[in-house]
Amino acid sequence: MKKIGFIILAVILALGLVGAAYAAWGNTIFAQATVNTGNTSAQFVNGPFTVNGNNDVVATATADGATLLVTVNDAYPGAVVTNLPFQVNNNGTVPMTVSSVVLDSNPNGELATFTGVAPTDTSIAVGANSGTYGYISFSMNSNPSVIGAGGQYTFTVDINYTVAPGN
Amino acid sequence: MKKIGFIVLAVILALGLIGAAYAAWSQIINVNGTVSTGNIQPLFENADVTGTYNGVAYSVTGNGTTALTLTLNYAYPGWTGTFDFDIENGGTAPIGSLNYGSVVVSPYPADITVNNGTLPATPIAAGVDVSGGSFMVTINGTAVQNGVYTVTIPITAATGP
Repeated sequence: MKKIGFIILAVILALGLVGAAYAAWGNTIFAQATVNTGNTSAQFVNGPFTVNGNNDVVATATADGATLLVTVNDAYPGAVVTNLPFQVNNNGTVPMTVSSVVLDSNPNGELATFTGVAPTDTSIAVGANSGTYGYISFSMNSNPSVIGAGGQYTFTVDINYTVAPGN
Repeated sequence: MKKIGFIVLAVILALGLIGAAYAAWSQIINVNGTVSTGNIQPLFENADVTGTYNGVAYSVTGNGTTALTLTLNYAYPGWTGTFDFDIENGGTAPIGSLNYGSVVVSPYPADITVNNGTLPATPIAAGVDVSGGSFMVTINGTAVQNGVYTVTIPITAATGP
């Protein structure tokens, strides 16, 4: 019985040595990738932008490009602004596209209608301006009690952008 | 009876002489064998070096070594890139098989996928460079902005004919 135990031990040791020898013949190499992701960021191009050169409606970007200021001179209840253009600049680190232009805030209902059209660029390169214009159109509330003489009204439009698809 | 004893003695002497003669004519020679084992040494070769791939700047170093280092800058969700490489056998014995090991992505494994891996055909003889290695890296939608990920892709070689 002791002899059998010895034989089993020897077999185990032999198999271990075979395994060690086999492992010694293997070799593993590595491909290692470091992936630094970028970011999306957009700002408005300075402008000024007008509707067909008519200075009654002028849009300019703030210094940081984060806000587009729209000035409508001599507005009145029911006034309509159609297709006021704007451009965006890609100041992020990856290609981007503008997905939508939507009215975010219209606290007192000064705007009766709003339509936003995004620039149609499928991909705006890093550091580049959109090759096409986006447009906003809106009409003022026609109720004189809402749009008073000499008033100043504020509304906020969101420009939603994302990583350009298909890159 | 005495005659028979003499004959037996003569036979014994004769056989003894034959044995002595045979011993005098036989020799033992030895064969001494020396076996020197070789080694296998897979090395990366001909991986893409620099460039911009679908808007992502990348660089590759480590050709001619056992560690290929790939760096992607400004990667973004939806980005997919395929990288090609050769394996050269820098050892002295043939590489019989190549296999991908488990890919490790950190810190967020779900954010990056490595797939469609191919490897050069084996066996690869000593000193021979074989093309056909590639893998595809995909940045998934869950990837964070300005993130730093590390992807480790092991390739195991074993000897064989």
